[in-house]
Amino acid sequence: MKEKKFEPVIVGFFCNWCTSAAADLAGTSRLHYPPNIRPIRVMCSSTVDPVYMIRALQEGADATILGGCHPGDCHYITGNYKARRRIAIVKTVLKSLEFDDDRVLLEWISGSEGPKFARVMNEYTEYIRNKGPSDFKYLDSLGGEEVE
Amino acid sequence: MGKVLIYGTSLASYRAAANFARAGHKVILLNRGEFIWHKFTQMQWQMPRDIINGYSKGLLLETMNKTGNIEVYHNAEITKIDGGAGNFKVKFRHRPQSVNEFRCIGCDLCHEKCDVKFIPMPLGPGMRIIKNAEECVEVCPAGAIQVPREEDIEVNVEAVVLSPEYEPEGIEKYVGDAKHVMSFRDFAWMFRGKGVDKKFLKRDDGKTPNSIGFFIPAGMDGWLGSYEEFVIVFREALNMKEMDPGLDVHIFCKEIRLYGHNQMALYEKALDKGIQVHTIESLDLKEDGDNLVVNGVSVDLLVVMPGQKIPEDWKKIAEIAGIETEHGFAVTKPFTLETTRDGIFALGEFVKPVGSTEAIYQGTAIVPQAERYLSKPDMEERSENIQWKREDFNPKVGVFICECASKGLEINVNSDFVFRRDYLCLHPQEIVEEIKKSGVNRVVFGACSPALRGAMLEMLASKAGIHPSYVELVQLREYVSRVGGDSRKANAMLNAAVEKVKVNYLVDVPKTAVTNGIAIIGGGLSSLIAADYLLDKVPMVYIVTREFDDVHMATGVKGNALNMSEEEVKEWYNTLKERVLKRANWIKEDVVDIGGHLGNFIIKTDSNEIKAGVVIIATGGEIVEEGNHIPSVIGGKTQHASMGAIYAKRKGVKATYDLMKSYSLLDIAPPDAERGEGKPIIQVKPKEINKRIAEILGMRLDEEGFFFFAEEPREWVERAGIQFMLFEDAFGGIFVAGLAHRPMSIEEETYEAGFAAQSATYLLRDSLPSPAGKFVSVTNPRRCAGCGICVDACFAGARYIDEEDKIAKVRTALCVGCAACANACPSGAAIVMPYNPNGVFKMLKEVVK
Repeated sequence: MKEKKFEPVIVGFFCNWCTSAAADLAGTSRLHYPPNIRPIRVMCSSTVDPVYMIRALQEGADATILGGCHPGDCHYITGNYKARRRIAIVKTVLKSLEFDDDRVLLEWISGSEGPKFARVMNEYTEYIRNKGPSDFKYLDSLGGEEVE
Repeated sequence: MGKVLIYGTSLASYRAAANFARAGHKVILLNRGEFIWHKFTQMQWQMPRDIINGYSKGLLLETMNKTGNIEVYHNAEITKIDGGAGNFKVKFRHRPQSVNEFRCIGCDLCHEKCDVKFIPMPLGPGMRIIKNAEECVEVCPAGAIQVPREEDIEVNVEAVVLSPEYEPEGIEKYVGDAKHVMSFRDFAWMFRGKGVDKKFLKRDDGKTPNSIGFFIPAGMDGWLGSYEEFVIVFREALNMKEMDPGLDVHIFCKEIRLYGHNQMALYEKALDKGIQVHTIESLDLKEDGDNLVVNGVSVDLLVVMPGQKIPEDWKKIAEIAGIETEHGFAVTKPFTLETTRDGIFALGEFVKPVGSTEAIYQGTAIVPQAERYLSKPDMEERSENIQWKREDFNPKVGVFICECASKGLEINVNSDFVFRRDYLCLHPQEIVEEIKKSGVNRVVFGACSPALRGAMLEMLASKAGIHPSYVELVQLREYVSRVGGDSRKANAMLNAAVEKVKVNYLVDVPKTAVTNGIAIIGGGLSSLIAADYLLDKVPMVYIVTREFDDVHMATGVKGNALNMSEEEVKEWYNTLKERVLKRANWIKEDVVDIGGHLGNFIIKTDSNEIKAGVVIIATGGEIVEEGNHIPSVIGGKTQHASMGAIYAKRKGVKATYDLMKSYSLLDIAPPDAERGEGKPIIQVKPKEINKRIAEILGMRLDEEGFFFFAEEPREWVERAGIQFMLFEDAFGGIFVAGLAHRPMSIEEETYEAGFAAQSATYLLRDSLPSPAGKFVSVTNPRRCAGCGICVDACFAGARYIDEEDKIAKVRTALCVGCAACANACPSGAAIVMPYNPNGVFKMLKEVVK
């Protein structure tokens, strides 16, 4: 096999009020971070169903990040606490299937923390790059049903 | 359409600008600084970390965009006011911003070209200040850069509102040049955007303090201040204690100016947590080695919360406007915000030292008062009847890409139609035509941050008949091209949006019909004041009460009101009562039941049944006068010392007090009182009927029996923060005003009643759309088990179990689109449209490519 540097795909679910605003700020400040991140704007970190994260891994993502507001700063009062509990569930599910639970990351990034956003993206991409590709994508029939 | 000029940028004036615009009047807002937040003193100094701070600009922008009724001039100063009420000629001088913050699209061309100072802001496009604008005027595609030149403008308006901001006193005045002292603003800024954590707590020499003292000078030596300083300091002290229970926290003040249930709870909590509150007559500050000794207590750091200082330029403003002042503040006619010159109003900090809640109330209550001089508002419905393209099962997606956002990217999207253009936002007409011509029925925009032009692009799509549910925005600029993203990332994001928009549903948010009438329950003073404001605007005003309360004598802290004789107050009250009862429908019975919801309440009394769109509760209270004590606490129960302070001042008796004896403007000549005990000089007992009303409506009463209603701005934000809806809409059509809410002076009653009345008129349009816009909750009838979990989860009261079908249904007029129901529903029957999980799955499939 030829040796090529592995480029992971990381799906990021970013809350509208804090982490997306931080990503905006990173953009306006022209802070570069690896293009491996695929940002998805969600209204609140708590709207991210555990199924979405597992589905993302199953579809071929090598890792997922969930970004929310700092504890106590949630725009919907307690959304980020719910997100924290959900992440615990996702990690438990992954562990019980004997997969690497480090491929799910929860990070609090507030709207004014553009530099922190870029730093987290850099560090996490590097971490996943060293870890290598995820084998979760070869697992079939897991995740939510399709609703028409 | 009336025309109002608002001068100043305090919290109250922002509210007033938004409210006048919403009521259908044209507003000219003279901003006193270089940008919208420049002189926002109260917020910046007293609650720099509070969310309202950032919210105010959002409110202004939103109302501006929605109504198109607000015009802003920066760096403006009034030079002359001619004419009289209903026909003012106002001359003012203004200097435009070097970069128009409402026009800038953030393309950064000027950034590359020349010397730009750039201050990014978390929620907005960011402020840019240019030093040598001449060079950049040509490169700006949006015409946002201008060479700032002073300009004189003359406008004709019907009413003028003056609301200049106070200045914070320099802390040197209180503490000299002592070391290890900082202003409250600097203190709070240490944690801004980072969260309260001990690692950010540093004193001027870089050492982390082990004990903190807070000093509130309000009330000493006639220094002015409102209750707000106390609330903020107590809250911050509690934050510090929660952050590190080992930290020694002290508060130094002359009186503890916290009144009412919520604020006293703060005081009790502070004592409970071990915060030491020292009441001192004057500050005695000594340096002791590395520490400070404040009145015998050793602290490492002293934080000073400066009070209100009357700025020099207020004198000039008063002179130009030709109005009288007392102690620097504008004189107002008793129980109004109108100054001594007809048609000129004073607001917020210019009236007296106010807290932010009061400022917000004032900013709303001014509308009915000023409307006497204004032409009829222009209340035309702005949303035209658009014929939406409905093709749920035959998606044809058009992708519109902005070259400004996709610089250096190779775009390759799986879509029926791709359109590329430099600066989409500058060619609105072209987009509309392209959408129509190409026959697409779903649109994806690849452009910049939605905070910048998202709403505008969505609106353009609507003009071409594409419903907002069928529009997706991809943030190519901030997420890809500016941060070193590649074409693979851009295409994955675009394709994901295309797949998602294909499966979106169109949700036509139903509108609810509204009964155009208002029911005021109770016979308090606020009941009459609110009815007085409403009678001209609403066809049916009902007052449901057996009898009206007698007027109480806690008139207010403003000179004119405070010195009114008892006969004058009674005469004012009797004229008001006569005027109202001539036209209102007085139902002389007690309320038995209240059914229905916002827009369609049904109020039952013993023999009547009336229908109303909005309910105002103004049951008033019973006044008890016993002794000469200004009580904050009696027998462990919270009392309202503010009313007692006014009473003691009016009566001129020698009184006693326990925690506070004066506040706001009374500080200039406080009542004669000493610490002691006794029977209360005045006590308000809430009406018995409150209990029944609270039970029917599911509202909360405090221990004494007063209604809870928007006690503090913080609570407002928590209630209203969801989806950034306006405060006025956040109460589900039920307002509480006057003594039913808490003991208060007549002055404050006029503000609260005005707030309730004005807010009620917004809700009484012919039909109510969902406040959430395109996001609205629906039930999938096949899945709903009728368990009612979503009904409990809904904070807005929008969900109910239908008695016939036994499944959950939605009152769209109340739904704020927060998705709490979708979160709670165990069977997946509650969905917030236009989101559906299928779209997310489709999106995930594409986005990983």
